[in-house]
Amino acid sequence: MKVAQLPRDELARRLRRGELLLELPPFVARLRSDVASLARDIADMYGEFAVSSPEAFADFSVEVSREPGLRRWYKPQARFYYDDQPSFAPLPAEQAFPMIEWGLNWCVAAHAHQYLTIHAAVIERGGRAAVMPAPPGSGKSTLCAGLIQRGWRLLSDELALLDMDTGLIHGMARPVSLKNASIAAIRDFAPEAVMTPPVPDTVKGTVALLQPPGASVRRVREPARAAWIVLPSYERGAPPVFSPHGKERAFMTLAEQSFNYDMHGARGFEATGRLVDQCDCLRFNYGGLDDAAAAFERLAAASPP
Amino acid sequence: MNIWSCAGRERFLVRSWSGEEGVVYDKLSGDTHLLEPLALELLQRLGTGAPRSARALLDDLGNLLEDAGSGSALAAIEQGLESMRRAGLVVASAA
Repeated sequence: MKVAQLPRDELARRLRRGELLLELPPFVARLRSDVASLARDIADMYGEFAVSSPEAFADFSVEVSREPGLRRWYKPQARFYYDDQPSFAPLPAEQAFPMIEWGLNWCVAAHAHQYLTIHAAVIERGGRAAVMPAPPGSGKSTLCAGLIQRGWRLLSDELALLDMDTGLIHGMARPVSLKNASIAAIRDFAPEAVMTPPVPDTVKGTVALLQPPGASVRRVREPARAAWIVLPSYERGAPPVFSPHGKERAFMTLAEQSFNYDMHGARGFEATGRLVDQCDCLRFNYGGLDDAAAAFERLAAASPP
Repeated sequence: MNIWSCAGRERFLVRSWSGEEGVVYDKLSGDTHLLEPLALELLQRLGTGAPRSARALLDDLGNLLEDAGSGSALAAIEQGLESMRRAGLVVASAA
């Protein structure tokens, strides 16, 4: 059963009781919250995702609950819990959905060590994936959000999960986190795209989540093999330009952007090396999404498998 | 004068795609280093050959360095070795 097939009051009831098990392949997350608006955001953003039965096993049990005290009447706050343990400082209750998203990212980054986990967007076209590791501010999520509106399959905008045995990359196809000017940029680029209401004054500025394309969610269990490592950088007004990037430097970027590279030791080194082996490594400078989408179209067409 | 040697022949995993720069994984420390071309060449020579001085390394590399006869080539080698010593990749001992 999909989230969208659950009546809204049933979704809210499961969420209140901690019986909402969201399938985020390769994981399952148990969600609990007493923040009423969260059911709406989950329905809007995760409608195409499957739900497990309340009794099923969940990899992560997370909760966002309102903080007690008089303050809740005039400045309500909510807190993220992992396995019933409070994690992170309380935040304004209106940030509940971004908090769930950040918390789920943390759950995976901190616990899913069966993978080499890399802070990177991953999109796929024609069986070949582009991995875009980049620090915040590089335009990674904006580029990812734009390209998935133009036929690229979303695997992830934040976490690339590299299976070190098969070399395949898994993603969860979760909503794309847009910040500040990126929100308007995607609205202009894809007016039909579904987003949460923007949440102002978060630690990352104003944040809105973008609904993942249904076609990507339906293929969420399909990993992909990387063909490109692309380091994006946004520069207002710049033409879209791909340029070669040294494989050794791409390797170092992947290692630096990995959450658990150090933990895997020599195995992580070898796996990262194999990933670099199989990829063209490129820098991509861009200043607009239309141009960027056309440039990626040419990239996909120019490099046959 | 220092005699330089590799910190451990079986200790490092090396990958290079360009044949110039390289990435080196140190199994002992768990660190990964990006090495510039000269440093990579020095590490590989020390890893397969006997310990030697910077001057001897310069002599070995003479045919690869355009300005091998100049003081700047020796200075570059010494700088590369010192940088790798700080990273724990090579060891210096007094001659």
